[in-house]
Amino acid sequence: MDDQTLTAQYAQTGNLMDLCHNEVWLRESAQIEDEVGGQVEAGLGLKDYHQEMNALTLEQSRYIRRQMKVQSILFNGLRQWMNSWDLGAGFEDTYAIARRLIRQRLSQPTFNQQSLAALLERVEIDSPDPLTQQQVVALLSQLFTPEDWQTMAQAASQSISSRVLNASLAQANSSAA
Amino acid sequence: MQRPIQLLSGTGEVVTGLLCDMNDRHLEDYQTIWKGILTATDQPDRYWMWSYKLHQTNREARYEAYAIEVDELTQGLMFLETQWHRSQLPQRDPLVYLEALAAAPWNRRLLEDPPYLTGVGRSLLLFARQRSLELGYGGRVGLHALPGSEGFYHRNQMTSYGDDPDKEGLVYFEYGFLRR
Repeated sequence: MDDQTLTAQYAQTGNLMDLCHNEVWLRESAQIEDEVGGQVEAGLGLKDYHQEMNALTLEQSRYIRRQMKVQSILFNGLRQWMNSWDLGAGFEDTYAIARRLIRQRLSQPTFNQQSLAALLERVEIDSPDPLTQQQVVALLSQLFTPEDWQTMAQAASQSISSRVLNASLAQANSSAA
Repeated sequence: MQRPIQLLSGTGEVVTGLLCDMNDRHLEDYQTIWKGILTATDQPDRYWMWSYKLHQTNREARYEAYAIEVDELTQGLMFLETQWHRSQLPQRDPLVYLEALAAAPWNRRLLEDPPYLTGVGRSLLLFARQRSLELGYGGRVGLHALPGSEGFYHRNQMTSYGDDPDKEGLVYFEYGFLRR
C-alpha cells in the first residue's frame, strides 16, 4: 500500500476504495495475504479469537468451511426467493429472521437429513454443477415449519407497522416543535 | 453506508462484495459460523466484544463499525475510533485508530488452502485510511497488530513503533500523512 499509488488514486477519484476495482491491486492484495497466511487480525480485543483460530484443527476448519458453503447456498437462494414475495421495506427484517430460522433448523435432527446430505455431498466435492434455484427453494420449503412461516409473516408485519408508527411519531414531534 | 467492492476468490476470479455498516446480522454470522465450532466445544465466548462495540457505535459518534459481505455471509469486520487517538509522532496529530480488524476463518490461508477469498483484510485497512482522509486526518491510521499478523502490516508499508507495554506487548503500527 504505497503512498504513491494511494496519492494518485485519491487525486484521480477522491476515493481510495476505487482501488478495489483495479485488478492489479486485487492481485497484489492476494499476494500479500498469501505471504502472511491470511493473518490480518488487529486489536487487543481480538487476541483470544486470533489464538483460537490459529489453534483450529484441520477437521474443525473443514467443518466451518462446509457450514459456510451450505449457509451461503441457502441464504443466496433465500434472498432470491424472497425478492418475489414483494415485501418492500419489510424485506431486510424478514430476511434476518428467516436466516436465523434456517440456522436453527440445520442444527436440529428433525430436518430431512437425506436432503441435507445431498446438499452437503455437493458442497463437499465442490461440485461444478451448482444447485438450481428451484432445488434450493425446494430445500428451504422442507426446512421451514408452519411455525416458521408464521414467525416470518409476523416479522414482516411488525417491520412495516413500526415504520408507520415511527412516521406518525416523527410528524407529531415536528408539529409540537 | 453501502459500497460495492471487488475481491478475489481463492482461485483468482474477481468477486463482487459489499462494504457496509456493521449490523446485528454480521454479529450473528460471527457468533454462529465464524466461531461456531468453538462455541460447540465450549470455548470462551468473545461475542460480547463485537456486540459491545456495535452498541458503542450506535451510541457514540466517535465509533464506527464496518463489515464486508460476499455470498450473503460476513467475510470481514472492522471497528474504528475516530476522535480520541493521537499519533505516536511528536506532533501528536489526530488519527483513526483501528480498534479491531478480523477476516472470516475460511479466508485465512493457514486454515484454508486456497482461502475462500483474498483481499478482505487489505480492503478494510484501505477503508480505514479513506475514513482518515474524509475526517481531515490526512490518512493517518494507528493499530496494534496481533502476534503473527505483524507481517501483514509491514507488507502494507505501515511504520512499526515496537511493542506497546500498555497493550500486552502488541506491536503498534501507524500510517502517516498521505502526501497529495
